[in-house]
Order: sequence, then structure tokens, then C-alpha cells
Amino acid sequence: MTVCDKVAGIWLEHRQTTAVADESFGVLMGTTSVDRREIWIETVTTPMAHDRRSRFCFALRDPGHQLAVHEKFASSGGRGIYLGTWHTHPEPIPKPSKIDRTDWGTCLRANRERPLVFVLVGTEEIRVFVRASGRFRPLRRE
Amino acid sequence: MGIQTHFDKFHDRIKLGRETASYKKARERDDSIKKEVKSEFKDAGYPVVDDFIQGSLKTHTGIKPISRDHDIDRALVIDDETAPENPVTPKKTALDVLEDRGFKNAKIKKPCVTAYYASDNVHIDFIIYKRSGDEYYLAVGKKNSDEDNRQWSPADPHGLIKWINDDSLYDKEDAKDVLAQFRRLVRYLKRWRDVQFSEAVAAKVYSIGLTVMVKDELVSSFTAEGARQDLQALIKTVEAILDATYFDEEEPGRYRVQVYLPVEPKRDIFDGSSFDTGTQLYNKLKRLKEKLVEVEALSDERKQCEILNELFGDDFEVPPPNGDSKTEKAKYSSAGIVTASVGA
Repeated sequence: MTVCDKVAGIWLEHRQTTAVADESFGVLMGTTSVDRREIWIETVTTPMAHDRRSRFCFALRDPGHQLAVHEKFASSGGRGIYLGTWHTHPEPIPKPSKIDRTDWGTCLRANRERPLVFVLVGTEEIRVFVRASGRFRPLRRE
Repeated sequence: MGIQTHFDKFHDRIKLGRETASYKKARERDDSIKKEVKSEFKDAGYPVVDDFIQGSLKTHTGIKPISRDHDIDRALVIDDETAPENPVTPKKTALDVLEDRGFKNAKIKKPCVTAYYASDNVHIDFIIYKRSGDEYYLAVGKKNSDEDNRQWSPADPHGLIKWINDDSLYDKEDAKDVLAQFRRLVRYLKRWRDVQFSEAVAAKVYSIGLTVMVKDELVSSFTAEGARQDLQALIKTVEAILDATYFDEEEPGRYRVQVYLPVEPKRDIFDGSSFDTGTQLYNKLKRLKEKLVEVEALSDERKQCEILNELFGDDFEVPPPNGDSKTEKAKYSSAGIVTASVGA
């Protein structure tokens, strides 16, 4: 998996490093190789006006996220697609909560046969999770 | 990419080397039992003076078995001076060791003593020779063979390996490449056999028979720049095998196959082989050649691989559509659905 510098910059910028910062989140968009083993995260969305957000939770409600995905798809000749979600955690090495895991399962069910990934941005580490053998496991960095 | 890339990948997948993990395990098994047999031979008064591995590992033509077991051919050599007159005597000693170790299926066959280790999927044949100077004699005979049916039969196990590994007949400049192509072709044909024949018939299409035919009739093929062309080499070699004198049409459409060992005892490898084996081998080789010619005429790599996959089985992989699957981007039918995600 490859992440664009621009995207990594957005994640670093939204880290919850202060005591009052709200959680940030968005969807991941990008392309995959034909065999779907390689994925490139090219753009992400950030919180929008109609989303709910607080320090410890969020709800992605704004239709702008889906719109952004459609735009990406149309402008890339059908190659750029929705590839998962990202959100921040106010902890150094982020671990998915039960709510996170349940939500990711919902995302996967809505997008069968797509190689989705889920990104957790901690205050020190950014971790990427994929579902393998029925569990969400962090990808190791190469 | 070119079709050779796919042949190379296929070859990597099927080739059996000393380092293959499952084979290593088989060898451990072999080592432990070999020690015991050796010690029994010593006690019986005919100590083992040499032992070696025979077969495809020594000739770099081994393949991973699909469903069968790993075969290890372990040769044990005793000295002519101490060897019992009856060649079945040391074979019985070996059998006793195997039986003591609980191998109910251990058996004396005509040329060897065979044991099967179910837990490891290993099949070991002990081949017993006596040696007099440079000459080897194979212990031939079954457990209850009478004098007429047992003998120390002249054999040349090292000579056979040497003959298969010999590259002195090839042009000096590319002898190494030609020998390597020969080995790849043998591996392809052995896997083709395992895929195309029923298990019972495949067991009778002996690897050594295929190896000798390929060695004798090899038509190597390289581009002007010296790049490997295994597909072309295989077509021409199979063609040459079919045109050679191995297949005798004794009755219309019914073939007998005969391939003579190039070294002592120069016997027919397929001696006692049935019409059915000969006919199937002939017809399937002919079909193989026709299909390969078809593959050669195609330009679509994926279609080529599809036919080769049918001939050689799933280790010959068919690439996913649209060229280079790792770097080329996939096209999707829809953008994907953003669910009303929540998180904590």
C-alpha cells in the first residue's frame, strides 16, 4: 500500500495532540492494481459541516463524502474508488475500539470484493488495518 | 512479458531441490533408517561400503509431487568379497529392520526394498548393490524367488547419472544453457504426466523413461540473442520423440513403448509394459505437441497460458486479465459506497 505525501500531511495535521481537539475522520480514495494486491491512497476527505464530531467519537453524516467519491471515480475513468475510512484517536499507538471494528465490518459488507483498508491516526503512530482471516490486523510497514 | 516468463515461473514452482522443505523432512527420515540398516548389514557380515542417492535429485530433474509421496532412492553398496551369494539375503535383512520399526507395508520388490512412511508422505526405496572394483551388481529378486529368478545383475548407477548430466555433445559455448533447458523440459514432461494420466497409468510412465527419451531426442531452442525458448524446444523435442523408434504400432492404433537404458544392463525400461500404457503415452504426447503448436500460434499471452494450464496443471498460472497485474490499475464498475460511518 502506498500513501500520497499529501494525504500523509493531512493525517499528521489532524493528529489529536491537544487535550481539547476533536476526532477527525474522512474517507479514503485511490486506485488498486489489477490483482488488487497493491493499493494507492491518493486523496482523503476531512470532516464536513453535517458530520458529528467530539473528542471521543464521530459520525460521518455529510453527503459530501459520497460526492467526493463519485467525483474521484468519474475523473479517473473508473479507476479511483472508495477504499475505506480514516479517523484519529487521542492515544499514541491507536487500537481499534469495538465500535470501530463493527463499523469497518459494515463498510466491508457495503463494498464487497473491494480491498478496503482502515486508517487510525494516533498521536505518535499511524496504523493501517485490513481484515484478514476474519480479524482486523495492522499492516506492517515496509 | 513473453511466454518464456510463464514457463520460468512454472519451472520455479515445480522444481524439487535439496532445499525444498518437504524433501528435507523426507531425507531426515531416510537418514535415520539408513543408519539402522547399515548397522544390521555390518552385524550380518556384509558392511555397507558406500551409499548414495539415486534418481532425479542427482540429475536436477526432480519435481514436487502433486498428490503422490516424495520418493527417495537410497542406494546401499556392499563389497563383492563379503556379499552373500543370494542377492535376496541382504534385502531380507533390510526388510527385517523396516518391519521391526513397525512398517507393515515394507516389501521386497524385484529391484529394491520399499517402505512407506505415511506420516511424512515419504516413500523410500533401498536399492542394494554389490561392488567389485568399478563394477556394480544390483540385487534382483523377490522374497521367495528361486535361483532362476534372482541374481546379482550388472548395473551402472553412476554411469546413468553421468550420462544424463553429460553435456559434452552440446556446443561448448552454450553447453550449460542446453543442459539446463534439457532439465527443464524433463520437469515439464514429468508434471504433464502427473496431470494428464490417471495415477495408476502415471506410475507406469516411468520418469527415467521420459528422461532418456528427452536426452536422446533433445532439440534445444534459443533466440539469436541466446534467450531461452522452452516452448519451441518442447515442441521440437516431443515431435522428435514421436518420430523416433520408441513407439511400435503393433496393431492399428495400438502402441508398445520401448526405451532402452543407455548403460548397463541396457534393458528396456518399459519391459512388460502394456498396450494401454504405450498407446496412452503415444496419443497424449501427440496431443501435447498439437496443443503446444496451437499455443505457439497465439499472440494473446493469457490465452496461451490457459492452454498451458490445461496441459500442465495449476502450477502453470494464468495471469489475471489486462497485462501487468501489479502495476496496472484496475477499473471498477462503481465508485463504492460511503456508509454513515461512526467511530470511537
